[in-house]
This record gives sequence, structure tokens and C-alpha cells, in this order.
Amino acid sequence: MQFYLARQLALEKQTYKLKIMIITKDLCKVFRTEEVETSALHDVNLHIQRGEFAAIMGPSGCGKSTLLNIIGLLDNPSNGSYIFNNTDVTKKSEKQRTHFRKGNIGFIFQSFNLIDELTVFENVELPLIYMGLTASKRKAKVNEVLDRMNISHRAKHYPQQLSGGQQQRVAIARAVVTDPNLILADEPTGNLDSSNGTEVMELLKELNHSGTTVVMVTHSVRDSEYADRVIHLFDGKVVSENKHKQIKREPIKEEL
Amino acid sequence: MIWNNLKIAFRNLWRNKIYSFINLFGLAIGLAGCIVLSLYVIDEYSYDKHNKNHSRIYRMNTSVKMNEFELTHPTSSPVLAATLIEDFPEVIDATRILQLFEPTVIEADGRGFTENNFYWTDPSIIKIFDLQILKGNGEQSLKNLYQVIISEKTALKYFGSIDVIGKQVKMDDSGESQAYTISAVAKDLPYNSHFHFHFLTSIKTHFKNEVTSYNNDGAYTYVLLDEKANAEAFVEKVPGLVKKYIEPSLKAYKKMSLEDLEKQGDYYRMFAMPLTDIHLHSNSIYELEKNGDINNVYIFLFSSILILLIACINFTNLSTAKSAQRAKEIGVRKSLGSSRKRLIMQFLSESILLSFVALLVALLLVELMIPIVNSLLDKELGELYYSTPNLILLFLGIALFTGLFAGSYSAFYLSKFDPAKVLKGNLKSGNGKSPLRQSLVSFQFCITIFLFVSTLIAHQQMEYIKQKNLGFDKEDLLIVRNVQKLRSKEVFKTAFLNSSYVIDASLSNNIPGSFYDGCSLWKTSGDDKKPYSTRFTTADFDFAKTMGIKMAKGHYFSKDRASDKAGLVVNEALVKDMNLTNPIGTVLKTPMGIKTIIGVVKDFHFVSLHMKIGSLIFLHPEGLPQSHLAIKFHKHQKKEVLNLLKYNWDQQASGFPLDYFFMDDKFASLHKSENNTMLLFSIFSILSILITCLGLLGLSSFTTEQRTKEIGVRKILGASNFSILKMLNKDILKWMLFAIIITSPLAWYIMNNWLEAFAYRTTIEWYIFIISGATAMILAMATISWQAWLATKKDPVEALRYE
Repeated sequence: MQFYLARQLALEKQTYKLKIMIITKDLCKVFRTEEVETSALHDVNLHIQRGEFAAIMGPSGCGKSTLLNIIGLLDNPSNGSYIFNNTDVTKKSEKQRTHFRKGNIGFIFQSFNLIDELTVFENVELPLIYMGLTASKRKAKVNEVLDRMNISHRAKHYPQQLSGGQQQRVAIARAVVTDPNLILADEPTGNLDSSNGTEVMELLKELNHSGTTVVMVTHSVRDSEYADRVIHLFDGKVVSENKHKQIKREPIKEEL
Repeated sequence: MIWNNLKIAFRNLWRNKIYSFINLFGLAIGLAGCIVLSLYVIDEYSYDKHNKNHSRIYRMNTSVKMNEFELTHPTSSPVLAATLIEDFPEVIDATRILQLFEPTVIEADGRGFTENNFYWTDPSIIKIFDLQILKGNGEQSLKNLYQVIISEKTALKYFGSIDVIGKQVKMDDSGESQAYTISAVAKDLPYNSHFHFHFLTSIKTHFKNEVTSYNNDGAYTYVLLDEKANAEAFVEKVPGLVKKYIEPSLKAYKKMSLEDLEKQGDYYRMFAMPLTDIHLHSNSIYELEKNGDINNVYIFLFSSILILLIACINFTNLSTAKSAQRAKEIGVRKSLGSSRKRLIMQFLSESILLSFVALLVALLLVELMIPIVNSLLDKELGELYYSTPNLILLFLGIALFTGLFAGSYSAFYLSKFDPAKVLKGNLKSGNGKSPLRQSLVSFQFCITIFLFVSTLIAHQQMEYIKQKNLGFDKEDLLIVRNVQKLRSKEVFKTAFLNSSYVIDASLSNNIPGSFYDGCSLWKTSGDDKKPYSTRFTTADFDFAKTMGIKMAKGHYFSKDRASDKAGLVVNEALVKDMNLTNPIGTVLKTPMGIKTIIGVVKDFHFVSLHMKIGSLIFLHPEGLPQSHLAIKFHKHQKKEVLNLLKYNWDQQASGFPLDYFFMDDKFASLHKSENNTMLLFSIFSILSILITCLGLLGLSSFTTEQRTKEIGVRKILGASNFSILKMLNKDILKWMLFAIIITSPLAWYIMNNWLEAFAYRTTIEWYIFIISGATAMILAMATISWQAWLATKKDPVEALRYE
């Protein structure tokens, strides 16, 4: 019996492990300049499951973006450990992190970060080029995702010729074109008006429903209501985690 | 307002230290190069202008083409001077100069000196060349035979004093030692004179009877025109002299009229050359001294402008690239009420301030460069630089122009910004991809590649000349001059032949590189009665062996064959020139009697490589004078042979000074001035490349800075460092390829023309263009990649954090 229980426990642990995408343990990040030492993150412990939609909230300067960068493998923590997809990626070199990132993680920024010199199509195509896909495969994928984002008529335009909402849709298209497991969004509606913002959130929700894990940093309570869970950060520490299970099942469509 | 402008200008320069440094340094190098080159050009143009009569003095030149022989020489008949005074009322005076063909030895105070600048002349030289007599009576000092005027420096060198009136010097005159009495001391002509005398003696000393024939044409004839004379009309009349005076002697001597001559494609012309043109426009091998070359002046003038242009382009590029940084300042100023004009003034003050600071740095660099340029070009630019205070005005002018030129584009461009757009921050500028900037950069690379190609080709030509087979072996060959002064030159020669260090030795009248006399030859059979001109020399039986000259046909003179006495040895060029089908045994009429050709030597370069090998004959040595001993020694025994030489000379010479040289040194010195010009040109090419790369460095650091965000985004999307390096290099490579394609044919065309001037020239190899292009590309890529590498090393998060 004891043996059975132990096996059951181990099995459960294993399935949990499989279900979990992101584990951070005592994560710390310290920024040093010549004179000041700023602690941006302090002992952050997080578990984010596959298929989860998590929102990170908190006032400016609380470490949200820093946490997102570490989760997105753009930055290394100063202390603690980070396990991504069952691999300890805490002390990986930049080259290795790039390798993990490629095709696995998509990014969406508040300021879109589209490249001005490239057209919509070329912007979306970029990650596929870096993944080494052939031109015909790239073309098919880009067209498909542009269709999905409803901006294929804008494929030949340059970012400046689009509205903010359209630009963010392009950015989302660029983030999802590689079919990533994880999408990280840093205030995706911050530069948008409310109707464009809702559109973007709906897109994120759809992506989440189709199985993509989404981690989003936001200032907006309304946006956070799209998430399964809201993690509150304050001065680099997790202060509370609320679950909105019901909200996830019953989106607040009526409110709109 | 100006003060305010300058203050802001200074702060802006201070804040952007790297850009300012690149601009300042580039401009300073550009200005320094420009200043040094303009000093050179000014100096070249200053020749003979110190003479107060310079605009009224003309030299009579002769231009002759006879058969294959074509030559313009700066001399004319000694009769001409008197004729000109008589025939042309505007000619108020004339003077002639005769020079030595080979250095001679002058004895003074019991010591001997090798002397080259001993001239025979007319007393009118004092008036025409404005000579300043320091001691003695000027006009009277050349009245009698065997009187000499000595130059101040020569007097100091020979006697240690200028109180030398009445003292005597002895010079060898046709084998006899002749004493000359010093009658005056004259100030030396300045360095920028086309000739420098050490001794002047009356021309009557040379021509015991006044010459009346126009056949002799060895005198440098200068005329002084009347102040009111129409110089152009005079110059036009001079060629007519040929008909009147030369044709009669042509008819008597060659049985030809001028028309006959022209009909067979030959000519005899005479023309008057202004004194001030001599230094830059006359390059005969018979000049009194080696002159400058107008082509070098043009090349250097052109390069100085190019260098400055490259520096100005850097300035324009960097300041327009930086425009986004300053856009906000411009917006604020405009919204606060600054007019566009005022902004333009402000930007221009900045660029002018910078170019004046650059001028200060440049003047320091010039101080460093002047000694180098002086030693390379054998110049005294410092004298010009320090003695002409007005030059600083020229430099200030150049700096002011540079500031305006370099700053104007960015001033007008920046001041045009719309304040509303700029302040909202949606000004799209300075992304480093501006077509203007890129085409300016590729223009810079056009210049750089052109300079690269031309330097390489010029260098190849110099090497070609150096490596060219001279037709004789110049290595390990010691030449001793003035052996006719020895008690017995035969004993002297035997002393060397008996030494184990020496392979061979030969006595001869001429050696390759020395002056060769000319004469005429006639065929004795067939219809061809016309004379052929040739050079001639005498050399003993060992000459061909010692010099390593090869026989093409027949044999060289031999002591054992008595029949050789009536023989003649000729070179291949003569066989070709006279069109001799079966040269051996051909009988020719020479001024020395009827001779039969017994041998043909393979052509060898007996004059400089600038000239094609002409005809040459060797006369049988018996009873003819010999002044040189050539000693061929075993390799690496230079020192031993020199010791032997000194010992033997002292035994034989009774105090006469020893004068010797090594043949390879002599040939190297023949091309020294070209080599040095070449070296200077290379230095300036390297400078221009340096400035171009400096500009590119500034521009690429700026471009990568501008593209930080893009680089960050790309890295987040998974770009490798290599793909980013590739991306940043791609644009410039495109423009450089364009520059290479544009420049190569142009460089080929210009350099091909340049090579045409050489009698023996290298071919332009295709790989020169590949090497130049590749080098420029590698330099550009290295410059850009360095900046790009730094950019890829940056954390992409940093790049995106600040918007």
C-alpha cells in the first residue's frame, strides 16, 4: 500500500511536471549601476501550467517586465533557478537561450516593436527566416496567420501606414506565426484605445483556448479579467495570486 | 549672437566627443595634406620668379626629329644670341651658357674638388639673371680669358672665405691643367632657380675663335626682352629663324631643304620658352639641372583637393546622420521663435569653428610632415612656409571654405525641420540608409579605390623599371672616374686584374649612364645616302666581358686580331635603325674613316630607362682616350676592393682626388626622384583611406546606434549575431561594388595614359583591381563589423527598454 501510494505520488509528480511549463524558484534580479544597486525581483516563486492564461499586475517599477524578460529567456536571473519545459535554463548562455526561444516563445510588446523598414509580410516572416524555413513554407504560414488576424489586405504596407490596433495585430501575427507554446505579452493594449484593446484581448483569449500558454503583464484590471490567474507583484515580490476560473469559462462578453 | 552661437557650437562639439574627434581628426588630416601639397605646388610655381626680369626672359629651345631619333633639347647654336640681338629690336640682351658633360676636378689651395657646375657664359648673364656681385667688379669680371666668378657658397667651400679675389683655381682643359683667376664673388642663386652656378667663366675661354656655324647647338641661350616689347609677337617670330639660318647649313650638310625634311616626316624647329616655364614644362635629358614635372604638380593638386573633399564628406555625413539627435533642439528653438536663417548661422558657426580648430591641429601636422616631404622631394618647403606670412591667409581661407562647404548641406537640411512634427517625435530621419549619405560614402570609396589602383600601378611600373634587364650586369661593378689623371692607367688596371677579389676590369671612355657623344654614319653601298645619327664610345678589349654585355653576332674587339683595327662593333638598335640585313662585314663611313662591322652586341641600356635604346657604335680602343675604369669584383668583397682601390689610387694619383661609385647605386639614384614621388603619393593615398575609414567608423557607429531597436527585435525573434553582422554589412557592400565597377575602368584609362609616357612600361594586370577592391571592402567591412559586433553584444532587453 505504501509502495502503491509512493508510486501514485511519483506518478502524480510526473504528470504535474508534464503539466507545468514554468517553474521559478527564489528568483532574484539585481540591477547594478556604478552607484546604485536596485533589486527588481526578490525571491519570486511561480508555477505556470501548460495552457494557462496568467496575468502579472502591479504598479510601475514593481518588476513585472523584468520577470517577463526572464520568463522569455531574454535575461538571466541574478539568483534562484528557472525551469522552462522541464529544463533548467538558469545559467544558459545567450546562444543557448536564443536556441530555446526560437519557435517556442512569441513576444508581444506595448510599443509593437515592428521594424519600420520591413513590410507587414516581411515583419511576420522574420522569425520563420531565423528558424530556417524555406521560402514557400514561409509564405504559406505567413499568409495563413495574416488571414487569421484579419490583416492580409495590409500585407504589403509598412507599419507606419497602419493604425495602432492593426500594428498590434501584426505583432501578434509575428508572435504566433511559429506556433509557439508560450506567448509573452508586455502590456499589449497599453498603446491602444478600448475597442482595439478588446480586439487584441479577444485574439489572445482565442490563442489561449487553442492551447497556447499566455503570460501577460498589464496595468488594466479589465484585461486581467481575461486571465485564469492574476499574480500581483509589489516591489519585486509576489504578494497574492487570485484565480478567476469562472471568468475563464464565462468571458465578460455581456459587459461589452 | 555670434558669441552665443560659438558657445553653443563649442558645447555641442564637446558633448559629442567621438563624432567631434572623428570630424576634427579627419578634417585636420585633410587640411594638413592639402596644405603640404599646396606648399609643394606653390614652391614648384615659384621657380625663377625671384628674378626681377623673369617675365621678360626667354630660352631658345630646339626640337628635332631625324629618322627614329626625336628630341627636344633646351640648347641652340652659340651664334643665335648675337643673331637675335641683331634681328629683333625687342631683344635688348642675350646670354649663353655652356656646361660640362662630365664632372671635372678643380684644384684650389692645393686641394682637389669634383665639380659639375662650371659654366662658360657671357658677361650679360649678370644683368639678365640679376646676379648680385658681393666682391669684385661685376661687368668687368668676365671680360678677359681665364677669369672666373665664383659663387659665395663655393668660395666658402673651397677657400673658407669670400675674400678670394685674385686667387687661382686650376681646371683640366683638354688634358692640360689651366689656371683661372677669380675676378668676382656672386651670391648663389636661390634654391628655386632652374640652375645653380658654382663657377662662371667667359665663353671666349671655350671658343678661342667666335663660332659662326649653326651646326653646333650646345649653348643654352637666354634673351632679355625690352619692357615695352610684345612678347607674344616675339615668340611667334622665333620659329621663322630656322628657315633663315638653319636651312643653309642643312642644305650644305645634308643636301636637304626644310621642305624635304618635312616631307620625310622629320623636322627641325626652334621655339622660345618663357623662363618661368622652364622648371615645370621642360624635361629634356640635357637640362642644366633636373627640372620639376607639371604632371606631378597636377597630380598633387588633384590629390590635395580629393583629400579635403573626403574629409568634407565625412563632416556632412556625420552631421546629417546625427540630425535626429538634434531634431528636438531644432524644434524647441523654432517654436521659441528662432528664424531658419538664425539656425543656419548656428550650424555654420559650428562647422567653421570645428574647421578652424582642425586647422590648428593641421598646422601641427604640417610641422611634422615638412621634413619628411623635404627629404623625399629634395625640397626646402620650410623656407617657403616660414618666410611667407601671407600663406596663413591662404590657410585660413581654405579652413573657412572647408567649414562652409562641409557644414552647408547639414545646415540647410537641419534648419528645414518642421517643429510640430519634430516635437511629436515622428520625424523619420537618420536611419543611416539615406541615399545621399550612401552615395557620398560610395563616392569616397571611388576616390579611395582610384588612389589605391593608381598607387599600385605606379608602384608596379617602378618595380618593372628596377627589375628590367638592363642588358649588362650592374651588380658588383665599381666605376673609377678620371683614370686619365693617373701616371699609368694600364698599371692601375693591372693592379686590379692581379687581385683575387677582382673578376675583370676594363678601361673605357663612357660607362652606362654617362654622357655619350654623337656622330653620323653613312652607308657605302646602295642608294641610301642619308646620314644616320648614333652615339659612340671607346672601350678596351675587356669591356664586353667586364660589363657582361652579350654578343648577338660576330665578335668583340680582340688584342690578337690586327684586322679588328679597321673594325666597328655596333649594337642591335643600330642594325635595326639602318636596316642592315647582313650586318657583319657591312662597310660604313664614319667621321673616323671607313670601318667594317665585325660584331653586333645585344642592346643594353647605356642611358636612363626613360629613353629607348638608341644606336651605339664601339670604336677600336687603340690610341683613344679612356677616362673610366670599370671593376667587376666577386660578390661580398666590396670592402676589400675599396681598400685596394684607395691604396692603388694613392700610388698612382699624386694627390688627385679619387672619384668612384657603384653601378647599382648609380642606377638606383637615376630613379630616386620617381621613387620618392611615388612614396609621397602612397602616403597620401593611405591618408585618404584613413580619413574615409574614419568617416565610415563614425557613420557606422551612428547607424548601429540608430538600429539598436531593430537589432534588439531581430535578436528576440531568434537572429544570430552573424546574421546581424551580415545585415549591417550588406548595404555598404552593395555600394562598394558599385564604386568598384564605376572606378575601375576610369582608373584603367587614366593609368594607361600615364604609362604611355614611359619608354618601357608594365602592363596593367586585372588583379590590381581585384586587390584594390578587396582591400577597400575588407577595410570597410572591418570598420563596420567592429561597430556591429559591439551592437550584437548588447543585451536586446536594454535595446527595447527605452523607447
